[in-house]
Amino acid sequence: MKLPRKSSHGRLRVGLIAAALSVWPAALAGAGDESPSDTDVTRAYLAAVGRWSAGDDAVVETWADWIAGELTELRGKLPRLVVSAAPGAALDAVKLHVLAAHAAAQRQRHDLWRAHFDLAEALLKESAAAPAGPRPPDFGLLQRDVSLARGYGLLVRWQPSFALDAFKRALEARPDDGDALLGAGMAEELRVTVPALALDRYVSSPELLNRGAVDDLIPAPRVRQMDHENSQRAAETYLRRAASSDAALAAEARLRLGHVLDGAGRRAPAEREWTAALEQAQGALACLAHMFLGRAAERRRDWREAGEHYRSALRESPGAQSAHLALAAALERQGDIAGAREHVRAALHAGGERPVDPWLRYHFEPQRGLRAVLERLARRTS
Amino acid sequence: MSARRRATRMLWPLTLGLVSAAAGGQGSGPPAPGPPVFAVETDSVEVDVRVTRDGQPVLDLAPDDFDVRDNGRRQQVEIVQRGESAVHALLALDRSDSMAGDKLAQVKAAARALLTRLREDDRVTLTAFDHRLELVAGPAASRDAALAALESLRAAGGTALHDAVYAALTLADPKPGRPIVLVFSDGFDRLSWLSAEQVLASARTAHAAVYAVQALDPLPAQLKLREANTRFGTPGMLGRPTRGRIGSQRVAPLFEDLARETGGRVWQAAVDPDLERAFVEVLADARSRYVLRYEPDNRAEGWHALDVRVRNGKLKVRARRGYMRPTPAAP
Repeated sequence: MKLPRKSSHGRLRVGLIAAALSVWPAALAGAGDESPSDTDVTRAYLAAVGRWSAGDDAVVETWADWIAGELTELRGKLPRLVVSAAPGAALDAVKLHVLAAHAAAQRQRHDLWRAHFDLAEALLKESAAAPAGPRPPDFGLLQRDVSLARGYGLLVRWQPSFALDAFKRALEARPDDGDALLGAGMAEELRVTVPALALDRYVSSPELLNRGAVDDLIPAPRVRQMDHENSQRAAETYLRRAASSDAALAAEARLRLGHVLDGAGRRAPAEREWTAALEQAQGALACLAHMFLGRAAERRRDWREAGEHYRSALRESPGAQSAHLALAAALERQGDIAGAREHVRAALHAGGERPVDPWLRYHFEPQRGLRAVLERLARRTS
Repeated sequence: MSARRRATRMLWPLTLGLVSAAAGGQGSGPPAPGPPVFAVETDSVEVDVRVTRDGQPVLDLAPDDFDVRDNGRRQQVEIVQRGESAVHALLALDRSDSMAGDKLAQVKAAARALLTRLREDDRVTLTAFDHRLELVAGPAASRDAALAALESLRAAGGTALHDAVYAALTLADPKPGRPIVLVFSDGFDRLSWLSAEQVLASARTAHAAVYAVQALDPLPAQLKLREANTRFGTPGMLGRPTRGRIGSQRVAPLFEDLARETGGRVWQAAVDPDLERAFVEVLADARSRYVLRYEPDNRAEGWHALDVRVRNGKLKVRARRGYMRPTPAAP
């Protein structure tokens, strides 16, 4: 069976249909009730993996579509079939599924995104349990990367509770992994700083919302309060561990830790963390540290100190839109309306297609993390 | 436009909220040193007022019909503008990814409907926002320049609503015309640096009335949970993300507060066809207002509460709640 070569998306879909027809000609031509054998599908599946392993990136797009229908019935037994048929190909298959998940997400196909990740994780589990030979040395890294990719993807979609589950799985694979600790910290940070998002576990179903069944699902306030307090403690723990486990992540971990502490009303410890982060950071992270410290000064109604921090932020990241707006607000509080207008204009001129705003980067960090993981996974095992 | 109206517009004074850079922080301690940036040109106070009867504007009142109190003290007012006058329309349009497709096209159509009703002497500052702010036309561009620039809008990204409203309020310069700020969004902020409180603080001192058009969203509260208001430093917002129940769509709290503080209004509109009607009503509302002026007998620094009424108790009055009197510039 031949898979379609690289071509435009429309031609890929036609190619996919042709590929499917070549696998199940009887079923799709309406020639009868016969369904393709498990062996045929497995063979086609492994052929696709083989193509990707050989360097054909176009497979990623068709792979995303395979899940849509052709493999649906087989999904439950596919991991066992693949691992027993060709254990060496299974790890590349895992990577391919994660890349395909991302491709599906780019097309807003979140159902496929989830299906691919489920398959990737099932393949990993089957591979881990397979009796045939020792696992490769980077197996733990692969397990971690799959979980990281899932976690980042869920954070990008503002589902921090589910993201936390994924990061915890990454920590099971590698308990002191800095990225996994920071990811778990970010998930808990989001749950405590935007508490409404912590309800994502309970209200993920639009149908339930439409039927007005939500109130019965959301826990009582006392339970939510306990959950919030637990998340607060967990966020601090994860972020402190991330800061001490990996020097490259320390500045960011301390910034986020400060954000969490500040959200809990612990202002002095928060400022200490931001000040410590400033000692280790430069560029965008230093800009953010100054912005957080500026905000802290505003709370003390010290608009002048706030303004100084925001000017420092702009020195670290010239053109940062949020820093311009923050400085504008601080100047306005000091009565400098003209200065405020000048910085609002500067902010508007800075709002181009490529945002350099560290505040946005802070929120979009999961996307950067996801890109890094996908780059690693794009390297073939074989 | 009559000569008298032209003269009135040219003499639009810079009063409320215009201070020198030498003025200190309001209520925060000793004033910061530095040269003045803006000189106060007059001590008079101007107040934008809308009067209606059964929802229809009333534009035949005389100065004596108004009862304006500044910090509780009745002031002698004159009417400097009545009804039609040049406006400086500051539009802040949400173009986040929830506006993609037909919705953005309808927003553009609504904005076009407003812009084509502007006159030659009106001015427009057109901004768009997702998680970034962008100046699409202006500041204080012509109607035609704004119309041309409108077509370039594309939908993508998050919603920096607070930042966008703050920017519009700060740019609400009365020199090109009476400033009105029109904000269109579903009302839920995601990714702003500035808080709702900072936006409201600015609104209290800005020149403009804020008109908010809140998009009614057919999606249930799951989307709202994903785009919940972020109030930095407020731990444990454990209740509902809006002031209403999950599943219902109440007016966004920020919009309510802005309208109340500035004497503006809030509309809720399904994207089609109410949206165009709402935008056009904003302009009609802005043009059917009085501008009252008085020389305050109390020039104390700080916040001055305003209470504007009319003698005829059956009429409804809308005006801003007060203004901030700046600290005088250091010599």
